[in-house]
Amino acid sequence: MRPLRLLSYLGLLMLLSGLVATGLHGRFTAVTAPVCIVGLLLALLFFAPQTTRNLKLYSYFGAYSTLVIGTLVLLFLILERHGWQYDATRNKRYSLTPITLNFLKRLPQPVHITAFVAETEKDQARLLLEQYAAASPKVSYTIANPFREAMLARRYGLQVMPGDIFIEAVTSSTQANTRVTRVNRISEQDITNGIVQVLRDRDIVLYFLIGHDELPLERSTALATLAGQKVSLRDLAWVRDQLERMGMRVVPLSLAQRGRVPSDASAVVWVGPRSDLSGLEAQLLRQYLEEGGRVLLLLPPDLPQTTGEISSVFRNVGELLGRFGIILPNELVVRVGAGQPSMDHFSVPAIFLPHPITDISLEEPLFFTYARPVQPASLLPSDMRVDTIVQSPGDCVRLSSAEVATAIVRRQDLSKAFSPQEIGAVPLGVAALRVDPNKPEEKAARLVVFGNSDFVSSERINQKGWLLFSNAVNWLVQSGELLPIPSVDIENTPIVLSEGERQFLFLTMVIFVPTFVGLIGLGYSLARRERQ
Amino acid sequence: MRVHFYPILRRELKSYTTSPTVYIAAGLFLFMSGLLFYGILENFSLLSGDAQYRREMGFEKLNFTRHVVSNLYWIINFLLLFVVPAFTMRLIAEEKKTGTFELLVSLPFRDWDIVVGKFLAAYAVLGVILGICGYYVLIMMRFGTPELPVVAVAYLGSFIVAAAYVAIGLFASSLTENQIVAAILAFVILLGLYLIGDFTTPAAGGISRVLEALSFRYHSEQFTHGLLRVQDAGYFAVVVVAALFMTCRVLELRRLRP
Repeated sequence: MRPLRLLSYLGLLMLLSGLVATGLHGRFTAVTAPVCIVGLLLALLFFAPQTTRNLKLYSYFGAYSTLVIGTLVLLFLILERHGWQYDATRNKRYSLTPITLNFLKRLPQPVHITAFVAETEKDQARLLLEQYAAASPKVSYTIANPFREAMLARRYGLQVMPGDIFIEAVTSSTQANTRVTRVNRISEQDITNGIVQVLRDRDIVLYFLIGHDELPLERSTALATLAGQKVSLRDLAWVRDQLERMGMRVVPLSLAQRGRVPSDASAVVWVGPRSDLSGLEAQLLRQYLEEGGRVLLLLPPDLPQTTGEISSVFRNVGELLGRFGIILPNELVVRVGAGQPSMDHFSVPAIFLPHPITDISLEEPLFFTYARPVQPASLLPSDMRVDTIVQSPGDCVRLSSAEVATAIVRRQDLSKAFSPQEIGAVPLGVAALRVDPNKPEEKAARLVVFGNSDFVSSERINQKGWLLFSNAVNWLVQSGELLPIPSVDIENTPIVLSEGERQFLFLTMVIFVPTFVGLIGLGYSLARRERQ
Repeated sequence: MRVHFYPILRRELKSYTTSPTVYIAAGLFLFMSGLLFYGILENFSLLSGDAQYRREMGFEKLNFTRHVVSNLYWIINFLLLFVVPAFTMRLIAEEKKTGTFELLVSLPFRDWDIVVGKFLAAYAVLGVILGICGYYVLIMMRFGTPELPVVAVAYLGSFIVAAAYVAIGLFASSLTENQIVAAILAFVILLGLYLIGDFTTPAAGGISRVLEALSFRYHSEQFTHGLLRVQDAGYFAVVVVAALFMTCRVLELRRLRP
């Protein structure tokens, strides 16, 4: 057998093996792709001339064709690298804003973006990331499916899901990543600000207050097992992991022992305390806020087990918040929707009101199980701006702990016991900003308070709860650094077709026009043939 | 080098007008695109019926351009994959089979004249069919609120994509004497190039990027979003020139083969 023919059969075998391996793997890999290409090239030798008479001619043709096609490919690569685009959409939703473009031009170090997306979002991600890469040679990207590329996903932790985008600051010399941040949306706003975060020159340090029976930062299962108690996930271990993965430092802080809020604190966080701050601690926290500090409070309600004398558990905290225009009533929010006997009266859906913290486009619901009202004071201090950011649905009432206890003991039907005037939406979370004319807004004191803490416990947290928490942290600590990229608003332009319009469209597009073109054309061609 | 393709173009156009296959394929294309466009409109109308509910629940907004215009032109580009081989299969294969190709090459035409003339003829016929689809724009304007610049870009994109499809169909037709084989070959090449970007993995590194860059689907979808990018138009232009060049080479080889 001639050597060329033998090589071509070998090539065919390689090609087939490569394709079978690709089929089994579901994708071309670094091994199967070259095997297929080499196999294909060798298999093409089958068509090579059987005699050497024309070898010179074929070689000339091969070289000439390769040269021309190679030049065309080169031309295409140049176009790909230095592309120009016209975005015909009204609000330029496929173009980066000048803010991002200017920022990318001044990138101090390389950045690599790894976007884990579902197959349906792959093109959208690629379109956006391509623009980042085109705007700056320092930006590179990888798009992957977390389920198919499990090895890659594992680099970023065990819980990588479609929609997770990791941004790494890369050291130019070693190509080693120095810092990683995670964003959860394929949007210019999130990715640009993710790059801002990853390139920031200081650490974000979150001090979590301890000493008041708060939700623990450590995994509580081990302790519970050791103590022979029922295992519970009422802890902040998951949140702590995520914050640390975002490059933030999480540090426990006992204000009573330390005597002050450390100077490197980016924010103070207090989650799920069961007892009040001491007078000294409240004083220290107030002083910290007066100096432009940032505080996030997640305060659970007093539950009915403390029946009897109604005294606010959070008296000192209430007073502190009162000074900043926030009221913390000692009540519980209860749903009383009529006609829904199986309703859980204490599980309140969180309705988001417009605010940077609540700018979350997830359709997943978020429930506050046992929530207390948190509301802006009717008379605000002149330098405070307080916004309600989360509220309950309109079928809720406020009850004191004692009232709830009584209702449960007497097995009262909560849906019948209230007049319509008492029922309405109740504020469950506020964001406050101290407006000081002598200070820029980004340096002003900020305070976020939610009337529930369980939604961030490892036991109950969901994607929306996490985004609410992380947005609150970001709003508190990074407001001065983030770029104000306007979100692209898509116009709502629905149409409703009547029955007549549908019939007209069906007849026109499916019957008349195709039949007309087909039949008239056919008749014309047959007539012409006959004439010929 | 002056390309003298006009007589070939005229001859091919005349041949197309007397071919019943062309009208049947055109009717089928319009039927399928019309049916699917009707489906898109009806689906959008049904979703619009729940607009109030969707707004309250914070679902994605219903944008006519995004849902209807983009999907319509995506479908047109996809259907062209099936229709173009039917138009191009006979261009050279039939001539080879009937022996008229030898006559053609004996006339004072260069290979480029033949290839460009045949390409333009098939493209013109396809252009007429795409032109008939222009009445979809009127329907969209009558019943919805499309962003006209997006429609213009998406429509222009369909013409650009069609040019690449025709060039590849012509190349496939030059490889064989059998029209059916030519059609199947063209379809396989087109479908392969359409889907090639979907068979990649980041683990494949640079190869993955190359395969994605070769994807017809990715480049054509940018037009349907209303995005006119030089790299997409350039990609299809490169495909057209490369396919026509390779067709010329195939003809030249046939002529020179002893």
